[in-house]
Amino acid sequence: MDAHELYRAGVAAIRDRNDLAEGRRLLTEALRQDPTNDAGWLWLARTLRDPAKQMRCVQQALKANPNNAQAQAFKARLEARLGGDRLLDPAAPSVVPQDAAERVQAYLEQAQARLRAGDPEGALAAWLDALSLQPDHPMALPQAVRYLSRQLRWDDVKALLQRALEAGTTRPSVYLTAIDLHQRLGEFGEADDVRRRLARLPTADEAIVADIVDHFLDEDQVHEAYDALKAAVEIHPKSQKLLLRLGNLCHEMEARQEAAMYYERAARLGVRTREGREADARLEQYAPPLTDRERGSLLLAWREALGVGLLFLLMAWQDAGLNFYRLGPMRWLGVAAGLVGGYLLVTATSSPQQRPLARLLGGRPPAPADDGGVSQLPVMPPAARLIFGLVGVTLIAIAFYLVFPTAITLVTQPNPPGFYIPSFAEVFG
Amino acid sequence: MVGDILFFFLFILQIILILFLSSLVLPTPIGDTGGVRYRTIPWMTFLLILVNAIVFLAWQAPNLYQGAQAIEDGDQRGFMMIYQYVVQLWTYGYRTVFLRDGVGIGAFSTFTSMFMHGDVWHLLGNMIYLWTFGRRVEDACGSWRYLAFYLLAGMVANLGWSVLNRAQPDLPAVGASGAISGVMGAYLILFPGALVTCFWGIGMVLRLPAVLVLMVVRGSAMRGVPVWRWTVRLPAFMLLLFFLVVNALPSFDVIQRGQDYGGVNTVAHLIGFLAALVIFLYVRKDLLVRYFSGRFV
Repeated sequence: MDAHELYRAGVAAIRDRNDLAEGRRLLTEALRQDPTNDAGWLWLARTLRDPAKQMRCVQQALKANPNNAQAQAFKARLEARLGGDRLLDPAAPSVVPQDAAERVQAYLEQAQARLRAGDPEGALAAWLDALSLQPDHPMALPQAVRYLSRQLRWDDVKALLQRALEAGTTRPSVYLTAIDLHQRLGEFGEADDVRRRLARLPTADEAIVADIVDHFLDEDQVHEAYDALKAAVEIHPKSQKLLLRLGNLCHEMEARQEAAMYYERAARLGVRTREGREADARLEQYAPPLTDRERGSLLLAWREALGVGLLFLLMAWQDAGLNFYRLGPMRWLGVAAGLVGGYLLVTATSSPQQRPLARLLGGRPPAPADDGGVSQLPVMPPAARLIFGLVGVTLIAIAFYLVFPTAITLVTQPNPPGFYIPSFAEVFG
Repeated sequence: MVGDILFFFLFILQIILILFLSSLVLPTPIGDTGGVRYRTIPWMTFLLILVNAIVFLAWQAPNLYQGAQAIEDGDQRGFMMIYQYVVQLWTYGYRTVFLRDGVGIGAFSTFTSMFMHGDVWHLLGNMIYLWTFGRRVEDACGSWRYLAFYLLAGMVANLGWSVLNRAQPDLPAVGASGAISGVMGAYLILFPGALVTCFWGIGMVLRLPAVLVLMVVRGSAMRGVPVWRWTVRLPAFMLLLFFLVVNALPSFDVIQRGQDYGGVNTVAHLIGFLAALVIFLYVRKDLLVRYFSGRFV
């Protein structure tokens, strides 16, 4: 191909296919053959990111044609940028000194004036001047990016965004724009890097984090999604939405304990919200978070029965006139009946998987849907539970009768023995 | 009729005013910050409040308040009504003589006394505390275990009063405060770090400079924190340990020297509070395991 064909092919690659690398290669070859093509030098400058290299291209264009107005404007912009870079303070992008803030404002006004005068390149130069002082300026950056995008000057857009990100901007919109740009340019790895940074940003709200997680999940990058959510949860520890999402993700990853922990944290924040209720409902799938050893424990069941027995023992003691020696066999039998009745009731209601009782009674392991499929212990058959429950209630009723013989006699006999009650005269003097 | 309505309205207004004034000095708990986790309706706490209210309002209060009103109006029948109220207390209150001599309703008085109250202030004070602390304890236990624990704590409180009280051994004890002290003790054991929302005038005033200082020191970290609030949140352990100390000190006097503290049964409060040590027999199995693994909600 001759120089002119190479030039046309290079411009087409840049303008039509947005293939900057191919455009750069073709234009370099064309300009090697014909270094007097001033338009070619300007196109080549647009494929470069480094302003110094761009300046060398523009100078070549002006050398070939000193009257090229576009090259002159380009040069002026580059000079402003190269000068402005020296003013840049990457450590504090959003905190601008007073005089710098005034200068930024002056540049913005200048940009508006240039726009009104129909000079968008001049406006761009002013925006760039403003951005050299504050790389993430909320007005200058979007306008400059919009203008450059319309011109398909992607490297310039990328450079601007990169500078704002490197300066540590906390504006999520800058990150989102950078992600869009990388996606558009096919730089998916870079886009994911920016997503990871955005997920850790305190200013990124729940919806943004959710979008990032959705993206990673769509791409089957489950661990990336997990890392992003976990980082976001550390920054937003009171976000029920994120905690619930992380719980759900852990559940899908079969990290049950971790899922339960996040559901619990979400539920702790209150069950009045939709997320709180959902976390609570999910937690129910994990509750009781017991191992089979605990589910099958006789000791844990007898613990509750002991509570019932203690209640009856205190009742018996009072009925025996606060004297243990006077309890007698019937009251002791009542206490024992209360203890056994309590155990049967507890077994029937909340501990139907005790070993070896449940197996002896012909129980089977629960269906996975019933308890999340975590238990292998057999559960007592419903009929056995019903019988246990009925016998338990009956024994408790009998126990009540047995531990309160004196009190029952007192309230049922027609003439109970008298006791002191102050007389009317004593009360009213 | 209009007079009755006006009387009732003024009576309620008086109650609110006195509650407000008393809460200026001492914190009055009205709720806790932890939501009920496993149940949306703590129906056993509701039921206990309802039964206590019905027993007092439908059975005791007519004799007490109508009698007092009648006496004020010069009606001599008022004395008889007041006397009926006294007889109710001495017949169904908790008295050692019922147990030791096998008279009256015997050991049944341990249950009847738990649902009776001396006056409307006694009832209101107890029910506010039961509402504040009972719901989460019920949630941790389940309704029926919670009922068993409540009865046990009340019974232990009565027994403590009966065995340790040397001030007036045959004076009838009434009120749910022993059982409710047990519930409060259980709350302290289960949720020591919870924040309890209180009306507390002094606390509200003290909070103001503290918030202002923190706003200066911590800056943006305090964004969204209101400068003034009509309630303060106190850590449960602080509030409950204060309650324990306030009841323990006079209890020692009652036990050792037979001092009387104006009809307030501090011994029953103290012993009921200590009865909470057996709460682990009543907490649900899954929550017990979570509690000891450090993941209790």
